[in-house]
Order: sequence, then C-alpha cells, then structure tokens
Amino acid sequence: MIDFSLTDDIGALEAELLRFASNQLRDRARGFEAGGGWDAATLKTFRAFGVAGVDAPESWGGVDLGALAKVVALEAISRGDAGGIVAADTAGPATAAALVCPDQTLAARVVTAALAGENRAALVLADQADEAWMPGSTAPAWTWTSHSGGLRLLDTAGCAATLADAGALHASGGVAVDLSGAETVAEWTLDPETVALLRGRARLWPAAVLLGVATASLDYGMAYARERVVMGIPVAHHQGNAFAIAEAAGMIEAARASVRAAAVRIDQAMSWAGVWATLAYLDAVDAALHATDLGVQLLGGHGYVEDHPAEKWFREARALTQLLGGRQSAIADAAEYVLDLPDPLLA
Amino acid sequence: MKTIESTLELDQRTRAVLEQVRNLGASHLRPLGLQADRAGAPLPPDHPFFEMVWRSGLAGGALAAPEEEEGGDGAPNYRHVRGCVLAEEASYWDRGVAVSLPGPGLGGPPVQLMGTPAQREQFLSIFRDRTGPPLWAAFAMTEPGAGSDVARIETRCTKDGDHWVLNGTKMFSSNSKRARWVAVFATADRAQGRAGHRAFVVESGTPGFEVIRVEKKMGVRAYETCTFVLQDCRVPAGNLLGGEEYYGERRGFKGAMASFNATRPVIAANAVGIARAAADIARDFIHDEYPRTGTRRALALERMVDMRRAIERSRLLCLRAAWRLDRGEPNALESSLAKMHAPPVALRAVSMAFDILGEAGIRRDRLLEKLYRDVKVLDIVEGTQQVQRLIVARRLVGLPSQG
Ligand SMILES: Cc1cc2nc3c(=O)[nH]c(=O)nc-3n(C[C@H](O)[C@H](O)[C@H](O)COP(=O)(O)OP(=O)(O)OC[C@H]3O[C@@H](n4cnc5c(N)ncnc54)[C@H](O)[C@@H]3O)c2cc1C
Repeated sequence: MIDFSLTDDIGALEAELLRFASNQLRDRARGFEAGGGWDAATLKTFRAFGVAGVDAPESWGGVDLGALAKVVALEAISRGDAGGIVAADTAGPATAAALVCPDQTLAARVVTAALAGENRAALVLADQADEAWMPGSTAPAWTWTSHSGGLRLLDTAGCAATLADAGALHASGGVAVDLSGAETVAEWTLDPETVALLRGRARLWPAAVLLGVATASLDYGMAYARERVVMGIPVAHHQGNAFAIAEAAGMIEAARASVRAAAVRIDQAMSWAGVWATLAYLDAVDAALHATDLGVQLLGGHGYVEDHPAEKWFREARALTQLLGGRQSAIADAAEYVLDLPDPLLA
Repeated sequence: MKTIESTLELDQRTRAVLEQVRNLGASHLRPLGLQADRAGAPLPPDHPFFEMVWRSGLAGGALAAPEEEEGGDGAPNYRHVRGCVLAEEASYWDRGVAVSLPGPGLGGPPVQLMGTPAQREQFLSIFRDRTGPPLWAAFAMTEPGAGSDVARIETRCTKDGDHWVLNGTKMFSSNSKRARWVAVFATADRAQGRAGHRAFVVESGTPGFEVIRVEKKMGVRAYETCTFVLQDCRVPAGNLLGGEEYYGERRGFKGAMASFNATRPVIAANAVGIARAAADIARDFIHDEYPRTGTRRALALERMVDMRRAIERSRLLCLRAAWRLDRGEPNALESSLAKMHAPPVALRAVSMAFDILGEAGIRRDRLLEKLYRDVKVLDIVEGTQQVQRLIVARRLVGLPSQG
C-alpha cells in the first residue's frame, strides 16, 4: 500500500546531511561563494557521505541506494549551500545517462572515474549542443548529449572552455564549453521511453537542489517575518503575507512530493517514470522561483543586500533552473508524451 | 482636450529627447552598467561620463524627475508622462546607471512639492547651472527599523534657536554619499505619528552628517545605496521644507505621500523598461537560434505573447498615472496600481526570457541574469508591492489601517 516514509538507510542519510548542511555549510556559504568553492575539508566530509555515487551501482564505486536517496540527499545539502554542490557532486546528473547507456562497460568507466574525482562527466540536454554551460573551470573529460533519438558520448577533454559567470553558484565555478569540435566516442539509439527516463531522471538533480534552496529561503523569510514588526504586527501576520507564505509552503511541499514520487517510480522501474520526473522538475522550478522571490520580498530592502542570504538564494534559484536546458526544454519534452501518458496510480 | 484614450502618440519634443536617451543608452548606459555590475562598485562621481552627460543637459532632470515649469497658458505640459517614457527608455539600457546620473533624483520631488518658492530656487536651481561639476541630491526616509512603516521613523528633530538638531540613522539612501544635499524626513514628536513628520534639506558637509556604510547589493550596482547617521546635526531653520507653518494637518507626511504619487509611476516605468530589454533579448534569441517549427518554438512564442501583453499593459498603467498627475487630477490610486502591477510582472517577463534562452541565459554577457537581479529592487523601493496593495485596497474597499 502507499507509504511515504523513507527507508532507514535513506532517512539516516538525510538526517546526517541536514546536520552537515546546518553545521558546516550554512554559515560559511558566503565565504564559499567569495572563495570560489568548498574548502578541502568540507569536500572531504562531503565525499565521505558518498552522495555523488548514491544512485550509482556499487560495482561503479557507488552506493546503489537509488534515485530517491539522491534527491533526498541533494535537497538536504542544498539547504546549507547549493552554490558548491554543482561542482562537488562530480557525477551529477550525468549518472542518469550512464545508467541507460547500452554500453555499460563504457558507462561504468565514465562514472567510476567521476566518482574517484579523476575525470568529470557532464550531461547536455539542450537542443543546440554546440555550446553548454558547465560547472568547474575547465571542460569535462566526457560529455553525454541526449536528443530525442538517443544518446552520444563526446570526448570533451580538449574543448575550449571560457569563463561564464552565471551571477550565482560561484562556489561551483562555471564555464561555457565549446562542443563543436568534440570527438564522438560512441553513439546509441534509444527507444522513446528510455530517452524520457534519462532526461527526467537527470532533471531530478536540479529539482532536488532547487527544493533545498526554496526551503532554506522560505524558512529564513518566515523566521524574519515573525520577528520584524511593521504597522503594529509582525510582517508574517499581515494576512497578505501569511497567505503568500502558505502558498509558497504548499508549492514546496507539493513539489517535494512530486520529486520524491518520481524518484520512487524510477527506482521501481515503473513505465513512463521519466516523464513524471520531468513534470516534477517543473513543479520544483515553479516552487523555487516563487519561494526565493518571496524570500527576498519578506525582508523588504534587507532582502536585496548581502547582509542576509535571501538574495543569494534568489540568484541561485534562477541559475539552477537554467541547467539541463531549463524549463522550456522540459515543457517541450513533456508535451511529446502528455496526451498518451497513463495515470501513474490508477492505470 | 485630447485624452490618452484618443491619442497615444508622443509629441515631437518627447521623441527628440527619447532619441537622445536611446543613443546615450546604447553608447554608455548599457556598457557602463555591465562594467559596474562586474566590478560590484558604482561609477565614481568624477567619472568622465557624468561630466559629459551633465554638460549635455540630459542628466537627472530629463530622465528621472522632470522639473520643467507648467506651460504658460495653464495647459498641462505632460512632463510626468514624458518622465515615464524616458524612465522606461533609460531603464531599458540600464536602470542602475540611470539612477546614478547627476541631478536631484529622488530628492527633487519633496523639495518641489513641499518647499517654499525660495527653497525651490535655493536647492533646485543649482542643477540648472551645468557649467560647474556634476551635482547629485538624495532622499532619506527609510531607517533600519522603519521602511514600509514610514510613520514609525525615529530620527528626531528638535528646534534649537534658529536651527534644528537632527539625530538618527537613515538606511538605503541612494546617491547620498555623493549628494550635495539630502532630503531627510524626521519626527518632531513620535507620539504624533505621521503628524509629527518634518522634512529637511541636509547639506553635505554639515557637521554630524556622516555616511557610514555603502550597501552590498544584489543588483543595480551602478549607484550606491548608503546608511548615514545624523548625530547632533544642526540644520538651519531655513532648511525645514515649507517652513514651520506648513506642518499643520499632517502636511509633512502628506508631502511625502504626494511625492510618491510622482515617483511611483516612474519606478513602475523602470520595470517596464527592464521587461522590454528582456523581451528583446528573447526575441533575438528566437530569431537566431530557435528551430523554425515545432513545439519548442510554439512554447517560446506563447511566452513572447505573454511578455508583450505584460509590457504594454504595465506601460499604460504608468502613463495613465502620470497623465492624471499632469492634469492636476488625483492619482494616488493609479500610481499605486502601476507600482503594484509592473515590477512583479517585469520579474516574470525576465524569467520567461530566461526560459526561452535556457542555458544561454545564465551567461553574464547575455545580460539577462543581471536584469533578473536588477528588476527585483523595483518591487521594494518606493513602497513594496504589498504596501501598494494596501493603498489600493484602502481606496477601493475601505480596508482599515493597521497599527
Ligand atoms: C537598492 C535600494 C535603494 C533604496 N533607495 C532608497 C532611497 O533612496 N531612499 C529611501 O528613503 N529609501 C530607499 N530604499 C528603501 C526602501 O524604500 C525600503 O526598503 C522599502 O520601503 C521597504 O522597507 P523595509 O526594507 O524596511 O521593509 P519592511 O518595511 O520591513 O517590509 C518587510 C516586508 O513586509 C511587507 N509589509 C510591510 N507592511 C506590510 C503590511 N501592512 N501588509 C503586508 N505586508 C507588509 C513588505 O512589503 C515587505 O515584504 C531603498 C532600498 C533599496 C533596496
């Protein structure tokens, strides 16, 4: 029967990561942003949790806890600092491509190297694949590119990478990589459902990070709004704000439910789970853009300046929603399938 | 008399200035705005650009707070409508640099509306003489503990002989560090709430007036926004705007509110300008990089339709509010409607443009991510969206005041 509880393993991982986020990331996030990355000790602790490979098979150096564990872990960390997670998670959304790659030996090689911190792999879902934004300061060794007919693996080690400041996520760096001259290592045709799975699963990565950012922003805004008195009562008690907070909380809760449900469906290999993941991503994008806007607004002018983290989350949400082709590409994908998409529960 | 419903054309004079602003925008506002944003610091007051623009006569007055006199025959000269059109255009190129331009800025309206003729002459005429170095003025209402709730300002003013003594802290006062003077709101008696408000011109160099901090802002970095303290700051009695007799019947507060009726449509027009800049980026991107047919194009075009609708209706709200003011009609409701509507809609428009660009949108050289940071401030300054809703609701359905 339906059960929303997390398994013991995933629940314990979430609890530990929430502690890591609040004790080691949250108060230092500004410093990470200014310094251009998490420091070595923080990265070491992060690696010890095995988050990057939490959804990769053990034989690839992963933990094999599946897609649900990954989204739970990413959200927890992002409540502390989403700015560095894009680079710190060396496997990132690209694992979604490796997992469906027909050549599992090659896929294993790519992911194993990424998890060992030797070679990064990136994934590009954008339609124009001549150029892509990626974390880091150099081009990744490998880049998966996904299109409607299948999957391609490019050798991008030698590609030109120019600094591309996203106005956010500075603790992850950021480069525009020129893919036009990249050599194709291999290319595969995939059936439509597998393509949808790859793309949807990959999108759960930014979706989970966005949930963390949205939650952090709303929590902070609520705490501030309960304290700050304007026109005789706390900001949060003015009905207009109370309703807006309730609305944002509802959007986040609903988006979290969709993201986790999509991850569970992927873990259980349910049909068309990838399309549900893409739809869940859209929920997370909407919730995060809404919540981080409100997060600034609740603080008024104080939300616009660096004294408070609200402005950082505002910037981060917008930058994160651009990863993997962004909202437009997700809607276009979903539109391909939406007419014949069976009800996931009742069908 | 023609109304905006019957004619929606700009006059020759406005077109001519608009053209000047457009040229200045492309040649200077946009590149300098990007430069200041990257550097995270405003352009210094001695930047040659300010000198150039000051001499050209375009600065401040023409772009932000027009102070031309009424037409001789008593007919409205549509200076606020013109102000909105120009504010939109300047902001299209760069809102931060537009605010940084020399001129009375937000300090102008209180002096214009509350000052005696002699005070208007004393404090505003300096901006007409363009032979000297560029000059700025600023406006300071907000305090650390009082932003939306202007009635709760704590900066005290006490009469002492032929001076007033000011004590308090003002926050988020834009351009105040470089200002020749700042229009400062203080309270003579907190117990009286708004009725206790007094407005002063505090000139730079007055002992006890000290800028202590420049804010680190998420966007609009081309102008500086400051915190300053007033510590036993003695201001000549002649700098009390309107003189003491002016302050019967809460006129101090009413003066501040009247100045918002002039400035809110301008801020809303700034939002329209930014939305338009984002829409143009999206349009060019669709032309250059989108497939000619298919779902993606259809989706992008749908968003373009939304953007164009949002821009035009927001613009019309701004122009209507300004037009009523130009005709001497009450416009508090209309200016709040414009200010309530345009900034959040503009943020959504920038967001839609982002969707259209996808990953390309996060690269700073594409400008869009800067617009996303810049536009947000417009939902905060001159009364937040929530405060505008309160004003509108009070006027429409008699929502009672709280606190
Ligand atoms: C870049 C920048 C430039 C600025 N320039 C100037 C300047 O030149 N001069 C100047 O005087 N000020 C300036 N300001 C200040 C600006 O006007 C204030 O920040 C603004 O009025 C909001 O006040 P606050 O920041 O204190 O927020 P608060 O008043 O504390 O508001 C916090 C939140 O509560 C909401 N709220 C308040 N009252 C109500 C209510 N009754 N019902 C529902 N919600 C409510 C607000 O909308 C906001 O969301 C500037 C601010 C910025 C960021």
